[in-house]
Amino acid sequence: MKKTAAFLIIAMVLFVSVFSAVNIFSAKEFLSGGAVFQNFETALSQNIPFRNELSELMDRIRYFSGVRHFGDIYIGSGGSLLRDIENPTSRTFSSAKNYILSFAEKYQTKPYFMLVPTSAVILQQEIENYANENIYNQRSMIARMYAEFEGKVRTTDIYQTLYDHRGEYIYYHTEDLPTSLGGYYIYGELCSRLGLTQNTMDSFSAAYAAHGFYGSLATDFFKAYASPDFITLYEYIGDSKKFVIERFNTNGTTQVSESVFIYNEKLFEDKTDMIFGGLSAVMEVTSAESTGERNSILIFGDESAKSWLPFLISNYERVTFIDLNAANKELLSGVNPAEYGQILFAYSTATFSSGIDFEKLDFVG
Amino acid sequence: MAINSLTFLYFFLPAALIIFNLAPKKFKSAVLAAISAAFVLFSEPELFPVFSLDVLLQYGISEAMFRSSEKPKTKRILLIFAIAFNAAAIIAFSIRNQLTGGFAPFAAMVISFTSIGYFVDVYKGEAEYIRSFADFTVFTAFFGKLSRGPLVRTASIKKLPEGDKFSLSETGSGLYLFIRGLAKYVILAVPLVDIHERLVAANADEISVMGAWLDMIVFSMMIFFDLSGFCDMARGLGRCFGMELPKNFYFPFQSPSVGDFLDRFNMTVTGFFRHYIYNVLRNDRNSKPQFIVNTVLICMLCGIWFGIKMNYIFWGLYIAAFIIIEEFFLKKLLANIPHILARAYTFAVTMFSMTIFSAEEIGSIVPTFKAMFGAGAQIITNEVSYIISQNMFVLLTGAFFLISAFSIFIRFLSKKAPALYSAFAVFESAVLLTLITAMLL
Repeated sequence: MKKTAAFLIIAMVLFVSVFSAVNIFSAKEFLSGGAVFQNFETALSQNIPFRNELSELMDRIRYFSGVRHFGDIYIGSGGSLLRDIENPTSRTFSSAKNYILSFAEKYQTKPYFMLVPTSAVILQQEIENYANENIYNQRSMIARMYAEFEGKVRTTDIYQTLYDHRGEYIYYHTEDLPTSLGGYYIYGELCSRLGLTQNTMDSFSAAYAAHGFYGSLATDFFKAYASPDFITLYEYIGDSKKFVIERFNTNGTTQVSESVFIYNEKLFEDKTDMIFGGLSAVMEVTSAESTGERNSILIFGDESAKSWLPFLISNYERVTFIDLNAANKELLSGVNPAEYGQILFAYSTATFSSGIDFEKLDFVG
Repeated sequence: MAINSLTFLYFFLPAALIIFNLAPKKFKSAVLAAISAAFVLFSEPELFPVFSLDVLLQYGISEAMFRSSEKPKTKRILLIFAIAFNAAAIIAFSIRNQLTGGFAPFAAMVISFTSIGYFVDVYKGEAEYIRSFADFTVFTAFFGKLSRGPLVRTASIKKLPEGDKFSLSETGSGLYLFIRGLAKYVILAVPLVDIHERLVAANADEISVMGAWLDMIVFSMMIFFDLSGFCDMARGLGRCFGMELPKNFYFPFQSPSVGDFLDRFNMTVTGFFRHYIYNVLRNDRNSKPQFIVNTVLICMLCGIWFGIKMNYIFWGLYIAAFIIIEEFFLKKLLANIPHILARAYTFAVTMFSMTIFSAEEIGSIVPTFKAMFGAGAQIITNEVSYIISQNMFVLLTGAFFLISAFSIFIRFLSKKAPALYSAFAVFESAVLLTLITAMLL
């Protein structure tokens, strides 16, 4: 071998060594007590030069060799990124059951409960054969949870409705959430379960608010293979109802708005936050001038509510939304469930599987 | 820190090379012995005292044998003790490995077999005593060969002409060889292990013709790229530190006979058994029964090298059976038929042998063979077709590097166009280093 070639090969290895060493030894963890030595291989892999580019290169090679499954995300044939959910443990089911039932007993109410399946299961025909058989069976998970509540909690099954509309744009391609259209179908099922009259699509004006954006599932690598998304915002125009939205944050601040949607997409990194300006730990929507049904509902939910809540508020005078994972004791103690006519627990199967702080229900009221 | 880790590639190896090359000539062996000790200490700290004591004891026996040169009886007793001790160590580490998995028994096997060979050689006067403890440590436990070999005999380890001083060319070409070995392991063997495990699980659920055939081919490639990858790494490291270690594989799956397959597959181990057992036992070169007994013994030992398990012993017996059949019935036929047919025959026989080699339970071998020929199995399951579609790159690349075409091209280039070869080596190293690093992240 020529000396120049030998030198270049040695230099390549030394280049990576020196750069990695500089990165590692200047890292805060190293300076603050040498924790880096406890797992040097991990520290090194995190400090290798061009780490992100190398990871992306690997993913691209795997994609070109036929791989469509990256971690928990599948690249669907229709350009959707479909994230499989974590397998819930038995404790997940028992915790939800115990806390919700004791909450219902405390307030002498029969609450409503809804699990919203994610796109991974509704659009699983986009995943290639065999792989789609291995997607976590959300339908049986929902059935299991509903069976636990039998007779004590009123459950809403929206699986079939969403499945029947799977050919439509009911899930974002790059965000693990239903779209507004998907939300409208969920709203329809909720209305029949909650005893409400469903407002037809004519009661809402549609506005295309954000075009060609990529959601949180789309890393740089996925952007090359996923279809971009758009948001349609459905504003209620059925009567002269005006909404006031109060967003209570855990830092004690409150934001008040008179619009359900904020149409300036540039304000939000997460484009779905154009709905309500994003969900806060506790949010209250009241209609200043209601001519519709004068009732109220307390909702415990997650981000998936962004899809159906803008429709549901048209049927209520007062809607309070609580994100148990984000809310703190101070915020929760300010909410009195006895003031509400109905109580609804509504979560996506993904949030439910990864865990909800149902124990915080003890702080409510 | 394994030899196939980022820590080894980018920290341990550069540091070891710098320290080794800065050391004065008379301390180089001691430094290399210390580097080998440090490698074991970082890789398997709990085994460090055991390996240290092992090498110390072997050196003690060597010294005792040297001092007993004039006392044949004592020397013979020491040789028997050394062989018995090393055989016991091999068995003990093999059992430990079956119970816990991990680094041993390959490292223990390498140290023990190397020592046995050394003691027999010095006893018979075929090799000189290694008097320096540092030299002895490097000979028996050089860190590069502890992972999978090769098995070196005193005669098969060569010091490079410029071994005592820094050589840019040798270090560069050693590093190139190491990178290629690491690439075989990281880019091909590791994904193949994953594919094999998925196929085993898929076949356990519902065996199919395609699943059984594919698993056999995948396992063969996995074994080849794992073992030959580690041996290339060892050879590369040897060259970086001034030694030339022997080759251990030479494209065994394209051998023209099963006998030739054994000569190309794990060849330092086969060579070791052949030298120390086969040749010693075969007094009458024309005795057919002796040929049969010795062949069976050698092949079984070649299987046991991988661990004391029934499937490895059966694998050895299977290979032995074909070597014996070839010797007595097929020799002329294989020599006269077109080369491609002889290779196809060997390929089929050795591939089938891997079904035995890979069997976790002996009872699973017959159902697998049955499924391969379609007895009661469907052609392909959804799961197997999914595994194929997800791993096409690895499967095709593995199949390509299983044959010698690329190796012949590289050899041709190095002889006919050295400048182009050097440029290609730099390019190949850059590509492989990038892929290795990305895969190890």
